[in-house]
Amino acid sequence: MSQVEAVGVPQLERLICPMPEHTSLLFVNDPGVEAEAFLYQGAHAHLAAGGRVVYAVTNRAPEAVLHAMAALGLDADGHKERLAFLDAFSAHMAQPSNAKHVVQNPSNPLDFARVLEAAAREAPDAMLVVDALSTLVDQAGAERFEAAWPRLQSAMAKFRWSESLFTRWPYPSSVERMLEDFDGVVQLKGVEDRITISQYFRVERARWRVEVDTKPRLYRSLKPGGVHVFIPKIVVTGPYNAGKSSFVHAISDTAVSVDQLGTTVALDHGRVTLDGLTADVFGTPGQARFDPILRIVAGQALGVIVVIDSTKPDSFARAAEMMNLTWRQGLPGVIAANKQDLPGALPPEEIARMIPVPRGVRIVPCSGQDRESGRRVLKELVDLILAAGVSA
Amino acid sequence: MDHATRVDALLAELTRGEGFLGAALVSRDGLCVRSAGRTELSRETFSAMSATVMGAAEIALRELDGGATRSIVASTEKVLIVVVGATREMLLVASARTDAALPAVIARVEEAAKGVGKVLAGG
Amino acid sequence: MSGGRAGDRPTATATGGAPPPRVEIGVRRLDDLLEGGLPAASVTLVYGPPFLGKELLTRLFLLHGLRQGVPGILVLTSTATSDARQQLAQLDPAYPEYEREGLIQFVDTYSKSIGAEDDFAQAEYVDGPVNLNAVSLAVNNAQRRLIGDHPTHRMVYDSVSTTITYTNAQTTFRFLQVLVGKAKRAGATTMMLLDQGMHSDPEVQTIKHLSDGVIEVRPDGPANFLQVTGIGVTENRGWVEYRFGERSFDVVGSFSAGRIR
Repeated sequence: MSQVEAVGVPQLERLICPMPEHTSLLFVNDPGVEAEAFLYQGAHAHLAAGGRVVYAVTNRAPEAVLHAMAALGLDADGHKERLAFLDAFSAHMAQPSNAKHVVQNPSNPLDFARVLEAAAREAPDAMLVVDALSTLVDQAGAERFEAAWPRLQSAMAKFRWSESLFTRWPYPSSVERMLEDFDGVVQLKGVEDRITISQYFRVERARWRVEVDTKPRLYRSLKPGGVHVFIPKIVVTGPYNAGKSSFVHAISDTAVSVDQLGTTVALDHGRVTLDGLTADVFGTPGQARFDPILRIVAGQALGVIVVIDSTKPDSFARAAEMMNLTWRQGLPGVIAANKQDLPGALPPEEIARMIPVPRGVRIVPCSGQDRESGRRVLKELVDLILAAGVSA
Repeated sequence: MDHATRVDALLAELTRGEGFLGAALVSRDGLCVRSAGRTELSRETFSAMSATVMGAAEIALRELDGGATRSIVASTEKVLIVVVGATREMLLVASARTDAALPAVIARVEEAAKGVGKVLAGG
Repeated sequence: MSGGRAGDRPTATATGGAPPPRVEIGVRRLDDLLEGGLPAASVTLVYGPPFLGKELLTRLFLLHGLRQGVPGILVLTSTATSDARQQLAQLDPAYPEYEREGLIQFVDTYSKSIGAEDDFAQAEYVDGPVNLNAVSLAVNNAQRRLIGDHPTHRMVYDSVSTTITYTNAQTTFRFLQVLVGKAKRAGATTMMLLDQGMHSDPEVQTIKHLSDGVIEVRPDGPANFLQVTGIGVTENRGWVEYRFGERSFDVVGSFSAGRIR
């Protein structure tokens, strides 16, 4: 039996893919949290791989879906012949529809099920997207929806797999109970401080996996770009002249430095995108007189990279000192053994004997001449950060 | 008279002004070069942070209108500091009582910075 | 940036156990009727038949706040942002200044649904009035732009009736439950509009239930009357006559406004 390898959000794929065929995946979002992007990316990934998608939309016109996908940089136009809309909105607004499948009476969930069944007969190998299931509950009323749910569920299972969205309005508990019927559930929740200031996703359930990583991951929906796991702060520190600013600029897509006369006097700031993840990177000054800045810049860091000059062992003591100032037990950390391309550069194993490396902190070789090596250091740290979980 | 002596004289004159407490010539990368006045402005942290503040403000203000930064003022209830660019490599930092007339304080610091700039340029 | 503005200042000093501070609507004798204004961070329903100045009242409420540097959010379900902006400018010639200061934000659920080419930087456009999650998100985005510099803001939801029409009362109630809760936490004083004659009594009661009080309007022959219930008002003064024009809204009927505070 073939499996589902991609859902369009790389950091989510790591957690739930591959999924068996006929899996029902549900995204449950708090009201006001960006959610549709997960569906768009899932649909687009399948289209881009040559697959077919039936996109059932209940609360806006199909054109609005295409428009929103385009805003994320997802071109659905090129896959038009394999993307079929099931329009359960236009009839509600007494508007005509050009969609392939039209639900004439969207407030009747059985009507919706019938149209879904017809669509499944036509394209049983298609991925189904239901955007959004909660609107069906709104239109039909909880009782009527519950009565129709077994047939709806059966219709959805006729597709290769399904991804649905459910906005968690204050529904009665009987509606909530239906969520138990889904094989996989991803929660999309907001972090509030007077208003929703950030949002995270966490995999609540994935029945096809023995173990599930349920740790929350902060995310943003970028236009263009879509859902990206977001790491608000990675700190790059280390002794003077170890190559910190160069490192920040090398790994970042864009970066700016507050420097004067060849040295960083405040900080470097870079924005990195990698594997469906964005991170803000902050480089600190290296000279001791700027250590007060270190504490400010390193505050609330989710991970630390200590850059050292592998050719200057007498700077290692200062590196250890700076690690003490910026790092605490349990915080993901990596030591970047820089300037490996220069003569006299000590290898990581040698450096490990000379610096007190805390448990869990790795030493990774890199060189300013090789941008990829800097990215490898960053990836190591990101993996550690994701394994530790971004606390929300 | 050598540069150092002339700069010292300019700083001393500045600190004799009404409300002034101290003044220092600080490199833009945070090292104190000369200082004068009743208040010790040569301390390492103070010099470094003055450079930090000016450096960060320049980046921020450049985003807004692209112009050069004229001055930075920071204050507590009792004292304030004014940071002004003197040359490409140097800043002039002065401290004064907060109840001193701020426009006059800034004007005097800017004037002193111009004087220092002339001295260091060989004038 | 307008940092340092005070926000809606209380008209009565709040001390332990005293009533919450009041937010003036800006219609003088109406604020007297309300014993100073609406309670800060409250939700008031403005209810009555159409064409009786309800919409005007909410715009005056927003403008009164803007004049004091208190920002506002206008959620539109059946008007385009461009039309709403024009209307506000007609009511207050200083309105363009408030826009320049970034004090007004719009959430427009109408323009895109009719295919109108509306495009204003300080507006969030939602693809339709049925996508309530998108409306919730848009309101949050508008609030995010304001609350950094301002401790409070005002919000007008125009109108609940349209949302009920496009969805239903139960769905609207669930949506407003969340919206109202978030508005209060964000420090917003909110007015919501509901038209009489479009909904059943139980539906109206359901929506009233969500509010801290109601300003209700009704016609009586050639005259118009309003009544305030709830909203922390301690004395029910019954129906009081009011008049409204293109730019004005005045309470003209008599009531004893004097009370010892």
